[in-house]
Amino acid sequence: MKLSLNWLKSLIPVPMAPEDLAHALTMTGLEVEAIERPFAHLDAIRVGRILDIAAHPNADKLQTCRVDTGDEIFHVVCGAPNIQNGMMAPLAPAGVQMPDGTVLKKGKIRGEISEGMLCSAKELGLDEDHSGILALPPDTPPGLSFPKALGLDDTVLTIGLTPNRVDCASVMGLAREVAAFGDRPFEPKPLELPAVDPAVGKIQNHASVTIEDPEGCPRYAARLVVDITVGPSPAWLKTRLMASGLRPINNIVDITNLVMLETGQPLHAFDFDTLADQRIVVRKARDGETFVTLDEKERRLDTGMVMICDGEKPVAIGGVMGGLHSGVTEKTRRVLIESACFDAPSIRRTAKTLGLSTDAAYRFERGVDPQGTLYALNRAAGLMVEVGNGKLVDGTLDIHPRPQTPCTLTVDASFINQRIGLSLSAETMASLLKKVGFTVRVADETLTLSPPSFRVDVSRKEDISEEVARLFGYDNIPVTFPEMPAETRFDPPEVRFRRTLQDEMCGLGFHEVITYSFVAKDSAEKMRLSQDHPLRPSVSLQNPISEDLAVMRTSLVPGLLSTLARNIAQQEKNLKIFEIGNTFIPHADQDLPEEREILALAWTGSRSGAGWHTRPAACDFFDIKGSVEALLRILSIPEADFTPPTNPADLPWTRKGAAACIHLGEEIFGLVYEVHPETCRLFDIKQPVFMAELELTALMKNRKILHASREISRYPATFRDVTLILDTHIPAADVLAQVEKERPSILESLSIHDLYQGENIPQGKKSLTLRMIYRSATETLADKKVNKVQEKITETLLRQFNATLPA
Amino acid sequence: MDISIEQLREEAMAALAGIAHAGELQALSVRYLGKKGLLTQHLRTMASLPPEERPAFGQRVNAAKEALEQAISEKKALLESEAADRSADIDITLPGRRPSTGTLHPLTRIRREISDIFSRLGFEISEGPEVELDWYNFEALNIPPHHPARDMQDTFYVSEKVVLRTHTSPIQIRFMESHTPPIRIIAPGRVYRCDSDITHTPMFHQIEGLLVDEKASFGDLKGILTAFIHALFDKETSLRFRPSFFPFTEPSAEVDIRCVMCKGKGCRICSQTGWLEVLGCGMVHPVLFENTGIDPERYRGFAFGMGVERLTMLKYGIDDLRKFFENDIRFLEQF
Repeated sequence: MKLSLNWLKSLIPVPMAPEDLAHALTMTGLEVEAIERPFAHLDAIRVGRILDIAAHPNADKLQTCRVDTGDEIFHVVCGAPNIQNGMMAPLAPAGVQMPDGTVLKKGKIRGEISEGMLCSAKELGLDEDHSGILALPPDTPPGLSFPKALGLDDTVLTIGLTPNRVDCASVMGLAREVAAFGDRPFEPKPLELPAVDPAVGKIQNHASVTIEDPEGCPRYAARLVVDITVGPSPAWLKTRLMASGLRPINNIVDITNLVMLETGQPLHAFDFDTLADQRIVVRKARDGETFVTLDEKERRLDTGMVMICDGEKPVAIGGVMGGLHSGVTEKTRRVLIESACFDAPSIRRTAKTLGLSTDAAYRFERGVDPQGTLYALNRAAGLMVEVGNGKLVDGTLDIHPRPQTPCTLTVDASFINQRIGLSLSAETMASLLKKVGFTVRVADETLTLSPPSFRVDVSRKEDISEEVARLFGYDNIPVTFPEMPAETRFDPPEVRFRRTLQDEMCGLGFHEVITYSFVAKDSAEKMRLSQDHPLRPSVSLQNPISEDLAVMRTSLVPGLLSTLARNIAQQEKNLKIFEIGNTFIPHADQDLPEEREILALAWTGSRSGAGWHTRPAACDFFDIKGSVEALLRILSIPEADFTPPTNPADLPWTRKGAAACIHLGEEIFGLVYEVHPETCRLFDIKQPVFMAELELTALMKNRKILHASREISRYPATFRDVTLILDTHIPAADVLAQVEKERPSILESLSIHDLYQGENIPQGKKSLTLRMIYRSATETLADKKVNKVQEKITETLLRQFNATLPA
Repeated sequence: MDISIEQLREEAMAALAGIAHAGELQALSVRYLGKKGLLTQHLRTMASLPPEERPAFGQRVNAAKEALEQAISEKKALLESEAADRSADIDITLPGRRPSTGTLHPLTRIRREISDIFSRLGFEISEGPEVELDWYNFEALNIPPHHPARDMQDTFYVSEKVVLRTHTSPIQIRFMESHTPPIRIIAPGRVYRCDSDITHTPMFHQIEGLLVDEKASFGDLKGILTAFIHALFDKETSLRFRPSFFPFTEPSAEVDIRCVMCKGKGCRICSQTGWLEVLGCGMVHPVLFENTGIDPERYRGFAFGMGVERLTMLKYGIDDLRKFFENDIRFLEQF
């Protein structure tokens, strides 16, 4: 809402500077977003008197003249036909920037000096009139800046209205609020209607109104003005509209807009002679009915919409937009003015469905004052008679099938005081409320009140508490603290667990990223998912921002790979990143998808920061696996196994043979793998990427929070290595598992010490060295005893795996 | 012979004083104390002495030997210590071998900071689904279908009755449904709005708070938020409460804080106003209690909400919202 202060001041005295007024409005809930002088760019245009007009010596269509601004005389070359000696006109001196952005230069036009330009209304950006220089009243003082001369010297506040305060979508509404800063409520000027023309007779003899849809249209009022002359509006009317951000069209349309801006009641003007049977019928639209609105677009209607019709056909979509064929044109002589009320939700739905947001719909969908109908109607009728030289037809058609019953509320002062934290008397509250138009009675510290009809947002006692708080001033409410019992409250375990995970991932050298929860539709293709892959069904958005953000992710992989690609494009090729976030898995029988929280990590480029001390080495599968192992250890999930996937085709975004499932018993809770090179390529990544994905719920469930400490031995340890030559396809984990199966009590630890394939080892074989550390809890171990145990293990391994000892 | 023991000792001691290297020391040790060393040889001659002279002779030789051993050992320690000092000759200005270190996303850091402040104020965290029913995201919050308040939030729709949550307020509804007052929660999480330009990303983060008990007042709300802002910024940061509108609170307020960049003088960040809008809040609308089975005559509550991105930008002086989701490593490494 743009509020012209000149307009406001024409309704009430405003004894405040614009900045102070803006602050006061903001603090009362009407946030002023901008303070502007809309015509400030015309400040440098000055009023001058035209003198000494002479023919241009070198051009037939040009004239020369002098322009006197009181303190200076300008030589001007002018091409406009309407200049006359003594005429007052706007002059743009050289150096001034015009509204279209051009800067005027001093120079010669066909050999004659020109030090400025006399301006047309179009050149000043005021309207389309370019027929000649804009003539100003002869008594305009020369030298005056143009905005002052034309009453354009205005300050306009842009107010961001909250949806509940539609009553302030009008100058009068804002005047009521401004009046409340003082002591007295705002009183609108009483309207004086022009005399009716008795010769024309009563309106009832000319027109009729029928409401067939009282739900959609609880009130419809109309007046008739005849013998009207349609034409451009006078300057004062144009100025008001332009200051408020509207473009002047013609006097009749401008008046309907002016009255809407002034009162908040949207109006519509029909060319009465286009209405068949000279009648108005308000009815529901029929399904599939079409209608051409005044923006020349054909609209498809449905039964939820209210149509204004004449005796034959629709002429307007009620409360939203008029029709192309019933509007006021230059030929219009008789105007039927509509002032009506419409059902707010119905207008809202209609405007949404048709994608039409008009000033009228904005007001109707929020609620227009049902008592303001006639005031606005009469105001418009009066102006049309005055501005359009029309004649007012006697009487008003006012069909009001559902008059609103005034709402009465009872509220205890204590209710308001407790809710807000105040200690005001009921009388004080009443005096605050009366300033904004409430009718209030006080008895025994109880207020009985009715809100003014324009406050359609007030219906409960809580609303009254807000009104009192607002008028008292939020900043004047004392700051207190809630009473709180001493008790311990813990955050949910998953919140605490997530925090631990984030910290540990940072400790392991990974940077946290946050990517969008929605991904491109083709992400499934990039992950090479088959048509029936369980990760393929996704939650898709009906109205995505773009194709790239169209479906909710079923995997964190696309987000992380895109992040890597973006960084690699910036020559940042060594990256360790992780994200913790939800994936969304739809289930046919449920409204909401399953939200699965996943930790995903990705590593690409070098293993560690290379430098003078370390040769650069590329990271590999065992780096990412090691990170996962370290993480599981930190989280006290030590017994997880890594096994090859049963069906590698289920994991098409992983490289076959370089993927492992992480599980505890039967439950698989994660994956660690090299990303399939084809997937990398589809994400524009040309270097190997290693990733892991882990499910948070499963991780958390398997975490051992309390682990009793183990006794540590005081006796020395001794170690034995054994090197086996065995088939390459035998997994190291199987060899270790074999030892574990018959684990001797003195075996303290077992590890893979070395792995070798190549020279000196037969084709198809590998050399695997195990290291066993032995220690007893009760004695220093004798070599003999250790050797015996070690030999037994060696024998078993040789036999089980058909292995040999090195030559 | 008698003289030569003392002479040998003197001679050895003199030689020892001139030694500068461990190798020479070893040679000296061998020369005098080795199996064929000069002092050792003297000991062997003892057999040829008359028995009564042997003890005295032995003592003299041993005394000389021990003295020499002692001196050699001291010299050795001295040489080693000197050598240690010499060998520490490295260029300590070369960079060390650093284990790689990761960083938390700046939004995580501020989200934690905010959560921790409310945790100390007695609030617990509650979470909820990001894909949400229209009922929880709108209707239960007093935003019926076709209400203009729906325009305040551009919604991503999954179906007619399923949306991406536009705020974390549905968590408040879900919590009130399943708990009885007193309630003190904060609800952090990702939220979504169908809006993308320089100041809007289609996904962002919110933290909302809810307190319900029998005595809550707007004054208490002012108290909690003042304590919060003072903890997050500093005690000099003043707050201003302005009437506003949210369908789920009555009365409703927007909270401005004194610009933390210019301290209220007016700058680019605060659009020259000296104030920054950082929070929305209000007293819980009774319709929410009716919708969740809490007696609106007995209980009152207040709720508030804030954008994590906005506060993070203010805390770290970040000028472009989109940086948070571009995840440029050069940006992330700064935190």
